[in-house]
Amino acid sequence: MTKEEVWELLEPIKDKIDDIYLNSDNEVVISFKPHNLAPISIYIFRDLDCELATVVCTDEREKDDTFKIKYVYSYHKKNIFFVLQIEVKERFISLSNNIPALNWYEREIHDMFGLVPLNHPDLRPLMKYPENFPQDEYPLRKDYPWNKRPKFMKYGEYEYKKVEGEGVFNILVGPIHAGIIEPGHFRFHLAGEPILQLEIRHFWKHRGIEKLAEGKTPEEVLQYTDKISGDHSFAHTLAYIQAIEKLSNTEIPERAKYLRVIFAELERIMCNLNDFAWLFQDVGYTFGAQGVFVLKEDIMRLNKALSGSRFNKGVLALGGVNIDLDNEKIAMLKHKLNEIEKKYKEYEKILHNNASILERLETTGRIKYETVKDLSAVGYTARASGLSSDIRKEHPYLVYDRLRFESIVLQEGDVYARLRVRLSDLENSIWIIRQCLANLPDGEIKTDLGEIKKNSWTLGYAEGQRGDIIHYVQTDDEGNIFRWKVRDPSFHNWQTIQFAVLGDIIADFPLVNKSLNLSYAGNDL
Amino acid sequence: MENLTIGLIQFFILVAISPLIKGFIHKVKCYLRGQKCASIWQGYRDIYKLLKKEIVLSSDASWISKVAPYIVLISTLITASFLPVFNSHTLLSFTGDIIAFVYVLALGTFFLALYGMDQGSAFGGLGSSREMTIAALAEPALMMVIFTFALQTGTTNISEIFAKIHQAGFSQFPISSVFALMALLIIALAENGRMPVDNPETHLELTMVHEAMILEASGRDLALFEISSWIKLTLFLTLASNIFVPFGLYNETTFVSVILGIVFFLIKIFLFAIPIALVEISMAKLRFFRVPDLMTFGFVLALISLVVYYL
Repeated sequence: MTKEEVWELLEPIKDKIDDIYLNSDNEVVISFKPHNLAPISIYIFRDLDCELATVVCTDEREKDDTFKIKYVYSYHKKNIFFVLQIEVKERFISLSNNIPALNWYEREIHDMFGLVPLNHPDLRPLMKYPENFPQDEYPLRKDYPWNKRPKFMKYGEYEYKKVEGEGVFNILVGPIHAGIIEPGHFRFHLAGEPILQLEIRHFWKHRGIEKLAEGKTPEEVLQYTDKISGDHSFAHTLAYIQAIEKLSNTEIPERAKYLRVIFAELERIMCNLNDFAWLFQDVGYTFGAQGVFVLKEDIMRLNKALSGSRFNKGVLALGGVNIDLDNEKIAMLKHKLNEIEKKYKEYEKILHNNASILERLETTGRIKYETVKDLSAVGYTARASGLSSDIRKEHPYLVYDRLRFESIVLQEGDVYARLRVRLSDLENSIWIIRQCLANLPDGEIKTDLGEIKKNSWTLGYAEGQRGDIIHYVQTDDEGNIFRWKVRDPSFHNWQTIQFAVLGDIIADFPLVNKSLNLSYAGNDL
Repeated sequence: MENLTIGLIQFFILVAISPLIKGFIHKVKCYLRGQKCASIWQGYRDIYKLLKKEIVLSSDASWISKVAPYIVLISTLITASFLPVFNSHTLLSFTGDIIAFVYVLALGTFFLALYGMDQGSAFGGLGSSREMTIAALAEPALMMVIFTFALQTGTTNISEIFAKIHQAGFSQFPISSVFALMALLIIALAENGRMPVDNPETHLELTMVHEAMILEASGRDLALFEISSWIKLTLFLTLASNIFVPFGLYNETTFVSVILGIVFFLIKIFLFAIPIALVEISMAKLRFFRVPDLMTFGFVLALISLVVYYL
């Protein structure tokens, strides 16, 4: 990527831009005068058709007495991330009205840093609960100690949205649910069975992971990465490690790259089988559900045999991988994959041929293209509704640019479409693993990490099963973590559920919810 | 005296085996899914456990919540005492006919729905409204099935209907019964909260019908609701098995024939429980707004059976 190519893309707003520079191969930082933020952002988001990747706020008051907010947009047609940075003292312009995907980010910054987005359409607290947290304390500011415990008492009231009218009633679900799932609060406004509006409230168990990492060495942070979101422990760790390797200019051995891809795809297969089984379960087709749960268990046991961990925890290391696959393990992997694929095909056949199941899945939980586009949804949620989203293709990492695989995009946007995208992903994952095994080079699996650049930042990313995972890592004067911002796919996709249920009846909500299968923990760091 | 004894035996057998039927259906499903499963006797253990536990009642609950479990149980028990199980001598069949059978059961459903709404929880009201929708749709179909048999036998007394059918045996098995059997299967699935109308195994409150109404119940109340629903399922299975397999020494009262009758009945009822498990395992749950279509289908089948009888 050269500067000239980037300038070409930015031609129409050239006069608003002061300068651009490359932070790394694909991170283009645009500098501009503060009042030009809105037109540049809107041009990049709307005209260039970029997706919002993440928004990072950092407290750099010690250095120059300002907070910095970086808006990161991902350009799909070329491997570019646009980064717009503004300096903020107390207030900044809200762009949520034009770019709805920014809504939660701006509320997050308001909660965590105490910066006020002007003209924000809905500035209720997002993750800082007035019920038990003081509203005038800002946990992610540098002068807030990580171990401070505010007094547990009521500091205020949260205002829920209201829907009124004859025959309108509310059903409140959660935050404690019947199944073994995480906490989330769902407020349905109904007129009979049809849903008029759904309001969600999450962030019940904020763990402060980002704060915990500050001041720690990059190795120390590894202990948190696999705990961000349980079933995506590998993908999150991969995203983080790639950021650190970029910061330290480490080129890992070829064999390690292939092994990383194999384990990443095993995780994807496991998650996709899990979702497939749960969708069977939630339409009440327990026969299929049990069968597919067995396949998922097979994959987890395979993981255990390959790496010693059912979730492949501890496989990744800075500079490579800890686990090598010998010939015996490769043979077992090949054999098991064939077996699982054969059985999986049977259940896929049942799915496509059972009218009573299809009847439940089709047209349920439809999300429009406009919704996923506006909210920058990612993963199967986006791809089922016509928006392509697969960071393996857009910003290839490891060896994905050398592998052949498909990332299908469907238009229907319903539960069935999301399931079909998953099933296609599953088959492609098997295909990818076979390609990797066929081309697996010999050699080292680990190299020493170079020296980590001080006072610099970069993005690490990986495609999880739910969508792209983006980690922003910034180092301080000593090469320790200054700011670590994790963006789980669920942070974008949770907002789509409020639109997915419109036009459905309440009895179908669990199915819609499962078809999105979002992470509560990844969303709530 | 002899007749009274037989009536009591029938009544007790019906009530006593109902947890077993529930356990059996569950066992068949687990077997087909390749799962390990709770013992077939689990129903008895559940009831025993629940009866020992205390009742937790919402402070918003009115007297309805206190009496509803008993009314539901009693109405189910009264219908159980109407129904001949393996012999024509029942406890109460002189007091009511097959129409009373349907409507005494409906009284239980009515109080169950009231119970769902009484404690003011969101899910209870949802369950009650759904249950009433389904019950209102299932009722005409059930009545239609009953009319078919009442017309065939010229009486509405259940004992007599069964007696005449058993007398005729298989020799005069009318084709109309095939349609009536299909209609009765659909109605039984709907009335008892089974798949594809309701999923008795789900933990998702928002999709529940029967379970949603009793979500707030605990301890003894829950035990009464559970046993009532199991007895109700057994009632439908008994009804179907006696009408469609008129086999067994129904009209005799000797000791040996009673014993043989019990054996035949047990074989029949377990055989009739298997299709319920098979339907549950092979179908997804219907969308709630598709349930009326299914009920209409049941009604039409019942109507056809009535028309075919006259042809």
